[in-house]
Amino acid sequence: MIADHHDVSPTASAGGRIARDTVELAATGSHDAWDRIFRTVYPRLYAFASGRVGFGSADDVVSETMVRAVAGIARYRWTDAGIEAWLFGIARHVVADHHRATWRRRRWSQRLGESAAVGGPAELLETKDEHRQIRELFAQLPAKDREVLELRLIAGLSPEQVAVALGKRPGTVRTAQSRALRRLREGLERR
Amino acid sequence: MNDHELLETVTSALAPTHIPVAPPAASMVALHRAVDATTFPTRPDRHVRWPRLLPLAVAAGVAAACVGVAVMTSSRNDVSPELGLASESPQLLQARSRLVGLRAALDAGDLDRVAVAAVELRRVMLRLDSIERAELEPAATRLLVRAQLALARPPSPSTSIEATSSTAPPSTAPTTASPATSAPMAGAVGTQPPRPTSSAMTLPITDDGDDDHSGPGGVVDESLDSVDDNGGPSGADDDGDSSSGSDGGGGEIQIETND
Repeated sequence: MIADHHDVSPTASAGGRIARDTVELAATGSHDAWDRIFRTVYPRLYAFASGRVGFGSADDVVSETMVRAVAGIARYRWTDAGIEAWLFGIARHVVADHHRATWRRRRWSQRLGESAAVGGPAELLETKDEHRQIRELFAQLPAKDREVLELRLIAGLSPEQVAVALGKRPGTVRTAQSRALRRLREGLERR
Repeated sequence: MNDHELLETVTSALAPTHIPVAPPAASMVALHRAVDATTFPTRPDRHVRWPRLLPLAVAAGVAAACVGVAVMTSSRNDVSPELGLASESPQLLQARSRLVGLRAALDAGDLDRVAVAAVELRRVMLRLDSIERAELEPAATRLLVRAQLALARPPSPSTSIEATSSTAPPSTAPTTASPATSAPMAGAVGTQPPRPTSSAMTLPITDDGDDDHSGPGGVVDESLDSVDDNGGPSGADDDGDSSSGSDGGGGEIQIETND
């Protein structure tokens, strides 16, 4: 599935912002507007989802996120954080549902060999030892801090947008980011 | 490694190496199916809303201009009543306040407060000029009648004043206040000797459909004595009107329904 698309290097700011007019058009059921929104936000949603559920399920998570967004657009109210923060908030719930479903499926079928890829893109080649160390340290961070870093660095959201997606204050997000980076730095220096 | 380098390193370590640019066709199909299956609310277009509001804006501007011209060409006291602006004397405001106080005391069933408030209301009504007094007379008279009826009865802890006054038969209402029942009123104030209510105050009643009384009063140009002499029915009617118009409606059960 991935081979069908054009691959690019990940950039946190890929895709740009979605204009308010586009969102208002989408709220009236415009296919073009939804198409534009999906294409704009897709790379970042995919990067976020693949980090949480692995490449195999990332597209499913992104697709489900957009379907839920379409169903819930009437409840969305425009803010300065833009619709991206709202979409990533939905994506978090979809990821959580995916984890629950995976856990349930494993529990009942006892198929322990199924890949979950939770906590990081394990399928990536370990090209640099430093990256491997960072990922190991990252996996040891508290879940809340990991989520903040993923939304900030992988999804490319601003602290305000992360705050909207997580339902927290921007100051809390900045504090969590600072704490997580300090722990990563200390872990790297110890090694 | 400074902060910027650390951020770069962490980002490159955590981000997936390859991200598809465009969503797969299956996802696009699912999205468009979802759009087709969803009923979207029709939102008014911002550009269309302005023409609808334009007549309102013009009307508001014309009204503001008229008010401005009227104010400039007339004295404030002449224009204020026509415009519905406040031009009330301190005495009138004080009388209104006493009226509210008496009504609250009656509603609460506090006879001591009723006695004091009734005396104060009478006193402040006497200070009003004829126009202002005529404005407050209907409501004041009704409340004073209620107060008199309430004070004439022994207080019942289980029933409110309104309930007793509206349900009591007319024959049980005293026609004049006895010295024993009027004594607490005067005694509470301590400045006036006990006196019969018939000499307390003469208030011609002209019901102007005051906001706290529903419907026409039906009692026109009567003094307190004449109201009392007419017996309970007029007082009872007044009580009924007052209770129906009172805020909160004692004894009413309000049922809230959630959306």
